[in-house]
Amino acid sequence: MTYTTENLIASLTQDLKPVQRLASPGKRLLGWVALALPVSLVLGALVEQQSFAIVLGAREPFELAFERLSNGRSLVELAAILLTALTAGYAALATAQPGRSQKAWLLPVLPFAAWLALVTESCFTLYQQIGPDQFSFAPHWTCYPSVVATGAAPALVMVLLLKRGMLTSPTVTVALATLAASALGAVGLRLFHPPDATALLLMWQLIATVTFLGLAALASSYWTRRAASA
Amino acid sequence: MGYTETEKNCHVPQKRRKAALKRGGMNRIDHSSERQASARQERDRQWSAWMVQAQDGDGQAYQQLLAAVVPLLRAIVSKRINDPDKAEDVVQEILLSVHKNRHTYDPSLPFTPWLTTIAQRRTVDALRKIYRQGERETLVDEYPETFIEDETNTSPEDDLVFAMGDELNRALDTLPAGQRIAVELLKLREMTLKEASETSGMSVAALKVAMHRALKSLRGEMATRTEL
Repeated sequence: MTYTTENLIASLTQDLKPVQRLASPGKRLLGWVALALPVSLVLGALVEQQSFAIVLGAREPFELAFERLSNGRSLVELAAILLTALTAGYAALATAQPGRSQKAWLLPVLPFAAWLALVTESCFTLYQQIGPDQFSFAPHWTCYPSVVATGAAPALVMVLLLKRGMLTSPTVTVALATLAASALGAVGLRLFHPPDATALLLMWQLIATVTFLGLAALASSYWTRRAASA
Repeated sequence: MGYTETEKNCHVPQKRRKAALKRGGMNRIDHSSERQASARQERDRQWSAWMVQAQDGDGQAYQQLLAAVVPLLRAIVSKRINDPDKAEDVVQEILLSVHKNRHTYDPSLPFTPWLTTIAQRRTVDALRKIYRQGERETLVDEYPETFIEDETNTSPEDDLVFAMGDELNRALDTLPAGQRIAVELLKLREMTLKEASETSGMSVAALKVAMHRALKSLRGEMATRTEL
């Protein structure tokens, strides 16, 4: 007994309901930045303020942010980070919509390379300043709350946006989404976090974002299941 | 080189162009490839227009679209899957995916790349499933005995459901759309309630109710047909 393709088409087309079209990747990217960036900055500043109060007790995170915004090198690094977030975010959203060019993954290559080059240069300078004995790749647990605070909103909002699309190349899309969310979270870190954004911080940022994406995907499936059974 | 304007605009690779010129068949290639490209563009415009109407809830345009794309889907799938029954199942999976993701089509873009991306994705998924099943399952000529008693080991041909396959198909056609989809997904495709809910867009509760009503209707329908 087979259910014919013709029968299936008849079933699918009967009582057809209108659907809301998926917005273009550009519009969804704007929505992502508009929603996730302010939340990331506010949470990052709040967490850093707590850390300042406990550890340093003197300077406010906004003083540090103004200082970094007036520094040419910091501005270049910030521009590379923001450009990585925007291009990777656009590419992730474009690859999650069938029919769009899958070559969009090439967009973040240059900004990400520039960001990595600047991070590498920072690490090298730090290594020269403090020497091999002090230089360590061990996890700095005190940095983790800042990473979580700045990375959560970009990752969660990105997952919600991707859920509306269709993952035709899941690996590429998830990798791009991870990079985009990490980069947008890194904007807050670059502004408010006292130590310079070194390779170690970037590594932790990526680990944290993968965790967020996983948790957000699980939570999203749970809510979809609940909504479906309601 | 002395090409005509038509030849310059035609997308025939240079090697092929030279070979065709030697044979004296350039005009034939030009015209046929132009005609094909033009027909493909026209077809794409028509499909795109139907999809836009379908997104707005026009069932008739949607039916025309799905019926029109089936040959292309069969061509894509049969390139990778030789078994015609399995290939047709994959075509149906693609149609379900198209239905579930129809909101992702952007009317400013061509329709065919959107469709072929989904078709290729689902075909790859189906191939993975086939390979996985192949690793775990062993084909047997006859089903092994389940119980010692003879009456429990009837051949499929003797089974009432198989014997009445056509009747059951006709009975299925009498069901309303929602109930038919529930039977198709839960019983014929053996999906879980969650999978069926995600595929059809119906809630789990609605699927359960539709399945219950469908079975009741089918029982009644089959009883009537058996009496006849």
